[in-house]
Amino acid sequence: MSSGYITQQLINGLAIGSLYALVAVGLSMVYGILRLINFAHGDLMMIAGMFGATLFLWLSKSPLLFFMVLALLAGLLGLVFERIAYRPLRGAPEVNLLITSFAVSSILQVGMQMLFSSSPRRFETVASLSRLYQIGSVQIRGADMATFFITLLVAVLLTWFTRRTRTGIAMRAVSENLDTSMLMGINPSRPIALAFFIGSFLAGVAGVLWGWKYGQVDPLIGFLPGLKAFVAAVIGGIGSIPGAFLGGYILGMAEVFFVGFLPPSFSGYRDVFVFSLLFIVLLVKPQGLLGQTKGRRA
Amino acid sequence: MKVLEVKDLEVRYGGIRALKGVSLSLEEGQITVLLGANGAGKSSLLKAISGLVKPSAGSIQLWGQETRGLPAYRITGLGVAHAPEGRGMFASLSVRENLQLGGFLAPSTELPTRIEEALTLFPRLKERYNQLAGSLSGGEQQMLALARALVAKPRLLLLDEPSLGLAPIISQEIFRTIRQVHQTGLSVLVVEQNARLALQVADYAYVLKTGEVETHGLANDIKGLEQVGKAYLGVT
Ligand SMILES: Nc1ncnc2c1ncn2[C@@H]1O[C@H](COP(=O)(O)OP(=O)(O)OP(=O)(O)O)[C@@H](O)[C@H]1O
Ligand SMILES: [Mg+2]
Repeated sequence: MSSGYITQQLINGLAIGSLYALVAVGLSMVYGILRLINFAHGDLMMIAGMFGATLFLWLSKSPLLFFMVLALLAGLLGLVFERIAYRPLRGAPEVNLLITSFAVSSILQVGMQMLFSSSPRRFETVASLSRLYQIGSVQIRGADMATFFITLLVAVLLTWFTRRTRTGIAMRAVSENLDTSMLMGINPSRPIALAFFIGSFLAGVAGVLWGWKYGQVDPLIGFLPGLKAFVAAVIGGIGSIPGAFLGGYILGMAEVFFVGFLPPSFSGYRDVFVFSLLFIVLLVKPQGLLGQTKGRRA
Repeated sequence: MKVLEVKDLEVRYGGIRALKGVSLSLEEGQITVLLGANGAGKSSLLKAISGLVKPSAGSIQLWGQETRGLPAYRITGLGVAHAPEGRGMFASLSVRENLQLGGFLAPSTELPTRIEEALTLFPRLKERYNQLAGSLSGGEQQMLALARALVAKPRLLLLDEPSLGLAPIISQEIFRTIRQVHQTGLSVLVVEQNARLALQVADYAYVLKTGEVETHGLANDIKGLEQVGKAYLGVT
């Protein structure tokens, strides 16, 4: 096994790990602030993908505009569901929120099937993204490179936002203790809505990157990435933003190495492997790698 | 005008009636202490005033305005700072961030001066400024809770057992600080188990018993009451 091959696998792991991380971070933020395991999160990624496949005409004119429009669409949709589906349930048992998110997930999937049919749609791309760039002995696709750098940028911006801005600190305060945060004068509805918006926006970003990576989308593509992002978030410590990134990359790497280094007959067990990994991590560190043991919210 | 006027307040938790018609009023610029055995309803009263629990009956007026039913963050906006029982630290946030949150509603230009002032009162917090609040000792956390409440520049300060779990000398330090900030015209309502210490600094006192006001009066008079002496001051 050449070092070139290993490097190549490493790069593939980074690319897929970045996608998991982008989806996981939104899940983790929303869980942190609302204790909601949002099963519809992956579907927002799918929505961006589906609309992206439809609006591809814009792509050739301005990839950046295309990107922003789709991410905003997902972000706003997240806000809408927060307002109409989750906010009325605030204070209800967590399982009610969870069940509601199943409903939202179905609505989104069926809605897209009705709007666009359930067959896969081609996701257009631009030449610079589909090109393979040769760097030394490894090849990197433009789309993968874009994914990696966008994820890096998102990580930097989110860290800055949660550590350095008034709103970001308020968001962490609401996540840690709802009652005390209100005593500080914070109206928790705002950070909660913002967490939904940011998380959904990032799912939209991931949806476009997904389309560019795989070239086609359908109304069910949200499910498995959503589930794996959830695994990533739990591995990293759900509620922790750095944990979501860490978990995403661990999962991406583990998956690629599992497929890349074991005999091909094993590769069908890739998802079993992912969940076994979750199992092992939770046995050793039940709160996840960077998770904190938090008290229940009042 | 009264700072606070509570009338016939009732708080229920499911079937439990924690407050059974409590009336209380606070004079501007006074320190009022709230005494009572465990489970008497002291914390529930403070939470009802600051909006953390919704009373089932009665009225709460702050500076003449009815506030029953307002969310807690709106009541904070009126000038009430509540340092809750058990300190209510944001343990995973730094001392600096906790203090900044105390001034969440303050104009951002004023915030640095306010934090500076609070740190002058508690120089120990200055040394631990960038440490996580969860890593502070109990006494330091209590100081931070008080400092954070002061950064809000409240007109009414609600303190729930500020000396809980502290060495006597630190308790005294805390109460000295309460006295000191009260000189600026701040009204204070403090729940305290150490009745002797609290009655030294308080102007007025209320005694709660199983959800009702048992007695109230000037702190000096309350000190002399036989039943209070027995129950809270260890006089036999
Ligand atoms: N969240 C709650 N759910 C149910 N019952 C509660 C709740 N909070 C308080 N109670 C009950 O209400 C009563 C008053 O409680 P509260 O905390 O106000 O008492 P307290 O005077 O502050 O006592 P302590 O001195 O122990 O702090 C108690 O009987 C308590 O068990
Ligand atoms: Mg209490």
